[in-house]
Amino acid sequence: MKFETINSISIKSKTIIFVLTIISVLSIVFFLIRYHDISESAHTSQISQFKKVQLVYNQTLKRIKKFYITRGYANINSYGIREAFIDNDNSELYKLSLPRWQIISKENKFLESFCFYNKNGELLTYFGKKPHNNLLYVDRFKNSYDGFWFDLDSFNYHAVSIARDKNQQSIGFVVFIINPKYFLLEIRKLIDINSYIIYKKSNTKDIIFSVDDNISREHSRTKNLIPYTIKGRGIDIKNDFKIIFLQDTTYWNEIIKKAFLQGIIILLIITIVTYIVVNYGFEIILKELETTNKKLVVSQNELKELNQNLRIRVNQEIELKLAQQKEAEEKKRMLLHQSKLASMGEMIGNIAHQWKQPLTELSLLFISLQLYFERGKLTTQNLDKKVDEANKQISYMSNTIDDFRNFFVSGKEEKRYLVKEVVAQVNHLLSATLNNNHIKFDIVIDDNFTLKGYPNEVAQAILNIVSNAKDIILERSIENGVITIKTYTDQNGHHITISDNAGGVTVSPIEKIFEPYFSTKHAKSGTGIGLYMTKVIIEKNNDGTINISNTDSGAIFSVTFA
Amino acid sequence: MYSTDIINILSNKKVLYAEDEDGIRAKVSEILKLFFDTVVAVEDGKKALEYIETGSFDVLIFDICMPNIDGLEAIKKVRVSDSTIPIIIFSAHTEQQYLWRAVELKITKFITKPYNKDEFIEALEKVSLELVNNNLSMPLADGCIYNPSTKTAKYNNSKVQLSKQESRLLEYLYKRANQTVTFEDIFRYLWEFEQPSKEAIKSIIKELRRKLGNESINSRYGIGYILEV
Repeated sequence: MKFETINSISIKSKTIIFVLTIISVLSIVFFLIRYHDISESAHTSQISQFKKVQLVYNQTLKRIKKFYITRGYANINSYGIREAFIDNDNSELYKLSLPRWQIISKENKFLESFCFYNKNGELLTYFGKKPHNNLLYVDRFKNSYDGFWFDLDSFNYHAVSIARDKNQQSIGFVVFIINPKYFLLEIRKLIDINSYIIYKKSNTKDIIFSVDDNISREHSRTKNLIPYTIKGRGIDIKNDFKIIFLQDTTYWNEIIKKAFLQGIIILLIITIVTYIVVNYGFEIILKELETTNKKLVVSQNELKELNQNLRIRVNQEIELKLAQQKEAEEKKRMLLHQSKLASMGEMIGNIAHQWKQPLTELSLLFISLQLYFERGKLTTQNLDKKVDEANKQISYMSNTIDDFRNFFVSGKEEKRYLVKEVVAQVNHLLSATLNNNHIKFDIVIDDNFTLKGYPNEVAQAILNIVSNAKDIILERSIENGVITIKTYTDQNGHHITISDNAGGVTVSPIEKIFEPYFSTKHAKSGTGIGLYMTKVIIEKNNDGTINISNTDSGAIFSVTFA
Repeated sequence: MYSTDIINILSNKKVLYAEDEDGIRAKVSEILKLFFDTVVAVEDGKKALEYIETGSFDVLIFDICMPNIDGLEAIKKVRVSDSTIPIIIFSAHTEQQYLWRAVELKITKFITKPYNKDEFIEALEKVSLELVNNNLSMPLADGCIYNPSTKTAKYNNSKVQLSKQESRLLEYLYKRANQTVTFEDIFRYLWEFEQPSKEAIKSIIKELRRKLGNESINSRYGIGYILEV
């Protein structure tokens, strides 16, 4: 092992601690989120329960009012009741109402009393628990009323119905007194929740009602019960009260406890698994690391080697590139050189044609001289004549050489020039060649057709094209060969066209003939550089374009200058 | 000088020379005039063929490159009707193809420009010999011997000089020995289109018989003459 043991253990422990810490933190965070969720739903559920309690209370209130007020009026409207009220006939009231009490008292065991008061609020008669002798707040009751108030020693619900005579004058009151526990029971019955009522009587301690006596004690004893308060409205502020109900949070606490336990268990499991994985995985990782390290060392060595080689390679590449560049330059130079050689060859051919006649004539003059001399017929006069003629031929030949030399020592001076003059120059150089081969050179050029540029170069280009046409005519043994050169101007510029009747270019694509070393001609007549150099001269040096196309009879070169 | 002697055969001969270059034509013509009796120079093949129609030429000298009908084409046409007339080609071309075509056309000599004297003379000598079938002495009847280069005959140990017309006719008949040569042929050969009377021919024949012996040339009555060897 390359790694030191102590070091490895330390790394291992560190890793385990680190991983476990992360897991613990994550678990706590997870638990907190869960707890928050649960409290949230508990709270929501409590609010909804509170609303439910309120609703049950309100509805019970409404129902009970309707029930007992109706019963009150039913009793008032019963036979003899009104009369008994008017007459303050207690025994009659009692007698007439007894059957009703018997029924009503059975319906609701929280109905404390059923009582009758005269219009001044004095107790006439009653059933059940004895009520207050005077009806409290009697002046307030213009219509039927229900509500809580404290009288004597208890805090009760009262449903007050008003008995009236024919003139609608109050003649007495029928009052049902109901123990408030009824409401608490209703709440427990409908939504299964315990509650109690607190009524605070001035200067005395709170009066507490509950269905079961131990509720308030339970409340103080356990924390699982959370008190909620609903405000109960009494007949006046003094009689206002509170309904306290106790919500049981045991369920939610249980859930929270469960969630906490779950968290702990999951944390434990993960911890154990992580420990195992990290502990044993570490061995594997170490092995992996070792092999990786070995590989790394190898790679590093390779890299080192590569770096060492890189410079050499870069240098080699640069050298190669330079060599290639040099080669390309050399090629270009060679091409130019070959092109020069080619045009020189072409020129020598033309010179040979130009010289053939004077040379022949010179040879004939010599033959004449010899023959005249042999025959003794050589007179001074004759000799002079022959020498004169010979000199004439020699100067003609000398002029020819000068013409060609001037043509190729190109003036590098840009100027306006007459194309007619340039073509005449070309014609002068090529006339012997063309005549010897019986090729007609048709020149159709406007006297005023001028161009700006390097006339000598354009002349060379024209010479190349015409020479090429001549070669093709000869190669294809065209009878009555004609080369025509024309000029015209249109919106695209100034054009010089050179056409022949040699049958046209057969290669495809036709532009290929402008490529260097491309030659359709027999090896002896063409080098394949002429047209390439022509293109170079026209397009690179003179800002022109050169195109080739076929006509019915042959090829046509169009040279265009802007 | 032997060569001069041989070339002298041409002194009573008529040559047709076709060349399109004026300067060359003039100079060659001038030289040919030193050797030939008559030099007719034309500038193209077409004109040359028109002249040949007359049938009076002994030698043809053609350039190859000429307008209208080129030299070789013209020679081809000539060869259809005349397979023996000596022809020299003066040409700028040295290409093989022309040489082969020339061989087919039975060309006596192919000379390329520029010329030199020796070649020129050699060609003319060759033509001369061809014209006399290599016979520099022509034996005639009665032991008479005719020398075409000097245009003289030895008869009865005496040397006689023949006139131009006499030697021309004699050589013409000798070339066609043992064949009857018609009056028309002789007319065409000696006078081209300007046809004098038969008497003109008869007077030349008469003079020849006087110089070479009566047996030298026989008459074919109403047709022409025959030289028997």
